[in-house]
Amino acid sequence: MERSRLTKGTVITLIISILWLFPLILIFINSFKSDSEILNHFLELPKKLDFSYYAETWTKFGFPKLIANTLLYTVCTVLIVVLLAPLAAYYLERHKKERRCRIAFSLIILPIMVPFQSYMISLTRILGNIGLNNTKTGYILVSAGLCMPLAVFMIHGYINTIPIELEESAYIDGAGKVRTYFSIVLPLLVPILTTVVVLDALATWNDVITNQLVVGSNEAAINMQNALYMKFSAQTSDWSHALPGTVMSMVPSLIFFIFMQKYIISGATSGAVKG
Amino acid sequence: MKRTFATVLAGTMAVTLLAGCGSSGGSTSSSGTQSSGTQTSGTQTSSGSAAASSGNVTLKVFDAMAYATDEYQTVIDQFEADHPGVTVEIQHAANDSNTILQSRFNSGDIPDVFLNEPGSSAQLYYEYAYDWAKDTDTLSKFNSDAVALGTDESGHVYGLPWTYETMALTYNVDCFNKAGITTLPVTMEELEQDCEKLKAAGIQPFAIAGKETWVLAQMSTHFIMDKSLDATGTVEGLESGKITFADLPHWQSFFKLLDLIKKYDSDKILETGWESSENELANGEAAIIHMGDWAQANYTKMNPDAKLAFLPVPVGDSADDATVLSSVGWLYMVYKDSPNLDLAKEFCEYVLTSEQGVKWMTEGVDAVPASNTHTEMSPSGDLPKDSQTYIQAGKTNGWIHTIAGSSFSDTVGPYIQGYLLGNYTADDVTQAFQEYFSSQG
Amino acid sequence: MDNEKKPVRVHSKKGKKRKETLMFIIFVVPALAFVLFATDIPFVMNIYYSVFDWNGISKNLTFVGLENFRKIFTSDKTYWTSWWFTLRFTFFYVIIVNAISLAIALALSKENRFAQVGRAFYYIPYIISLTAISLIWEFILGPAFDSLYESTGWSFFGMSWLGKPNLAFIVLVVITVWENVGFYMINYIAGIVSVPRDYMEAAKIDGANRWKAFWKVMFPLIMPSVSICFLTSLTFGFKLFDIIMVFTKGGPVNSTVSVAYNIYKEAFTNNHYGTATAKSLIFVAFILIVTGIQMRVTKKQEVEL
Repeated sequence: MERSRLTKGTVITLIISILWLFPLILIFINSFKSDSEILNHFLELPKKLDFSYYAETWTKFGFPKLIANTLLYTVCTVLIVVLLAPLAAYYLERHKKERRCRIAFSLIILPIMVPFQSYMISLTRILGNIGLNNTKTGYILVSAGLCMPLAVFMIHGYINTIPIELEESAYIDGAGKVRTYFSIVLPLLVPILTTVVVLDALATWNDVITNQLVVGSNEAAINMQNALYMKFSAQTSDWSHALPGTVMSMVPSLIFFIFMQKYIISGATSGAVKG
Repeated sequence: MKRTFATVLAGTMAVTLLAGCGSSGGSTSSSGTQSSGTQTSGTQTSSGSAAASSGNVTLKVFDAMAYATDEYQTVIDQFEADHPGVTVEIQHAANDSNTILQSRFNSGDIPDVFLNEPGSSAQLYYEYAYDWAKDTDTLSKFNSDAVALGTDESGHVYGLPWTYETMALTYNVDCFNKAGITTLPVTMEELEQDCEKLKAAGIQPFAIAGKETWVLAQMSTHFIMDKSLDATGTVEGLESGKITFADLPHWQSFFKLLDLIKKYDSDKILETGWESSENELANGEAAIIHMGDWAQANYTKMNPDAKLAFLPVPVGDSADDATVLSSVGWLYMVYKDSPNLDLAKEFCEYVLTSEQGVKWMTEGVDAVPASNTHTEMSPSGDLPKDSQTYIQAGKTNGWIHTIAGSSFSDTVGPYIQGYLLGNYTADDVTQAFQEYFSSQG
Repeated sequence: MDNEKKPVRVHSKKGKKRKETLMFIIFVVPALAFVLFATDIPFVMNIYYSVFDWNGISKNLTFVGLENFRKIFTSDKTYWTSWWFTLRFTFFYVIIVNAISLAIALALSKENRFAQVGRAFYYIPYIISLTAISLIWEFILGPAFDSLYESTGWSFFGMSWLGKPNLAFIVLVVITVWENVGFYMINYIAGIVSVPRDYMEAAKIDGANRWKAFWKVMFPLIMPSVSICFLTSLTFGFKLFDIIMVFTKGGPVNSTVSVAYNIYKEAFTNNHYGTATAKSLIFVAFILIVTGIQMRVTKKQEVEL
């Protein structure tokens, strides 16, 4: 009885999910069309399966290089965040009564609430002064810095729910803080870290504005979405290349998500120590 | 707790204020010889030092448009081939170009060549721009009326003009033929009759891009224009308060046009973006829009067979009153403290006056160049050809929206939208325009 | 607290303190440094610009004191209407996106192939670039609705969804909810699956119905997910920018100008950088107050439950 009722809800949710799939279908069928076909016959199937727009986009935009750049940015940003954010979150949570931790925590999470547009000019001044603008390093540092606040906040909230007793027994066994962190705490963080990885990988993969701002004038360093976005302006558009480009940039992120969602679920269930 | 927090905050602020002052101090001094030092960062360092040893130079170009980029690239390739050791590093920042150019100036990564719209946008950068006034040879390669758009009151020439851009109502010739319209309307009453004819022929008369505040604002400037004062005179008069909107000869006709649009455009007028507006016109689904000849390449892409022409905006009682407004789309400006100043100047001249460059502007962009070096080449599209005729006949006036201040479209556009929706009266809209110009004075 | 607990080991107190500082440096300072560099310091620099009249480009900054703030409070109508829009938007967005994504998460938290596929579907809009999203919605609300109107005659499809201020507001809420549901869903699922199954079973054996079991047992246990989702949706609403920039551009009739968009326009279109930074300071001050209250409330609930 109970099972069948649950399935009913699931079935309805699945049916509704088609609405969410719809845009992907629209983008896909339009990615084979010319600009005027897109504008005038958006809802129709393409007349023929013409892959020439894909080929053109691939070569014209230099996709291999774009993919290499975007991948480098995504991997580096995620690595930095996943390495540093849990460290900070763990310490700040376990010492939350300390003054310096409260201050550090406030400084770290403040940017979650500040719109990027309001300080980006100041950021470019700083980057210019230290010679990091137009460099890949500069972009990675900024990108990691922008992803850090939410990551720390999310992990901080998660650590809050992990009982402290486990660590205390490790201390009694003589383990230091660093060892306790790596052997006891970090394994428990797998589910939330997976969420953070998915979130930040996607944000970096799809980033336009930060990339434009930091490395916009260095064609060797721009990423995928920025390259596509640059082809549009107030009075010109280039859908027949943007849509194949969108599809090509989406495929990796979709595969990545499908792969990662298993870890979110299984990681969470294996953390049976919780609760 | 509170006290330490305050101390830390004060400390952080002190540090960052120093950073802030330091950076602004850095840029203040960057006018002199120090500039090359301040801006040698990133790629510049490598190219700068390399320049000394092997003659390799990177020219940094900031491009604010994305018209016919493939053809543009051939011009650049040719320039590089003619100048061994020179690499042109071009940023096509067609989207949000103001923002990106602004951040490049702030980061010290100032491009050697950068583009701005003449008028208020270009003026922001005059203090950084090279003055061409003494380069008379170069200036003689351009039409003087176009050069004037980059010239300030004291005669400094801060930019070289790219191509003319002309705007008015644009109509689909086939639609007019189908509806039996043989002569262009010169009054609002005639325009209304023609709308009726179009409607009777089953054609939607208007497809104005009501979503775009810039389209509506540009459209309004035809009715602000006082031909006896031209664009600059009209704007100066309005800003100084010497004339008011009540004095403008044709202002009230604007509301007649808006009423026609309300009546003969689709019900979803505020949803129409520039792209669907142009598309409906090109494909004959609608007969009249307001746009400029910069859209020619779009029209050709949307429907290669489209036959289009300008309809001078019938603001008054006769054909002489009707307006076509023309200006230059972009000014090529050179950073005056650029380490590669001569090369940058040469680049601008090459792009704007060489055979390759003119070919890009006429064939690729399909526009009328402001240079006079290769007049044998001319654009092939209906609209640029049309605009050339109007320009040569002296029937055009200058652009108001580019000299009326950068927030013109964003300020008055929503009021015009409000009028079309019925939220505002004509008086409300007039008052908003009046207040805008007064605040600029 | 720690120090009070062990007052006996006075001799090692200094060494311990030094060691703790070292630990603080190892654990916290690297992450903190990144944030200071990328956001905190640039933001504090803005405090400096807010008292200047500056176009964002020129070398000349004119000191104007608090004039920028005075102008904002006395004569900037658009800024305050953008506040009203942003507050309304945030209110509806937070409620709707959390309710829907939690419902989906509950339905799809079981581990089977169907749920996996469903989750991927809901996640798709979140990974599509915004330019493509705005194209799709322009066509759905334009040509697609037009042809549906012709075939069905339902006035729902005939309305000018993007052309009327009130309707555009609804459209904007719908699109942003639709776009982001996947993100919140994942967060809720991560919370839900970590709730031991026997807790819910036990509640059911006790005779609680599903609704009651959810609120009394499940909800308190997924409170960390709830507070993350609430905070992120709240700040998304307050900072709403991207979709305005590429989709509505603030229209029609300025009805969808958000505060962040207004600040952006002030800085980069109107070229009043000083005024824009002043606006952003007012904005952040407000958000700090609201999120401070919000966090205190959820924290309190977490403790109570």
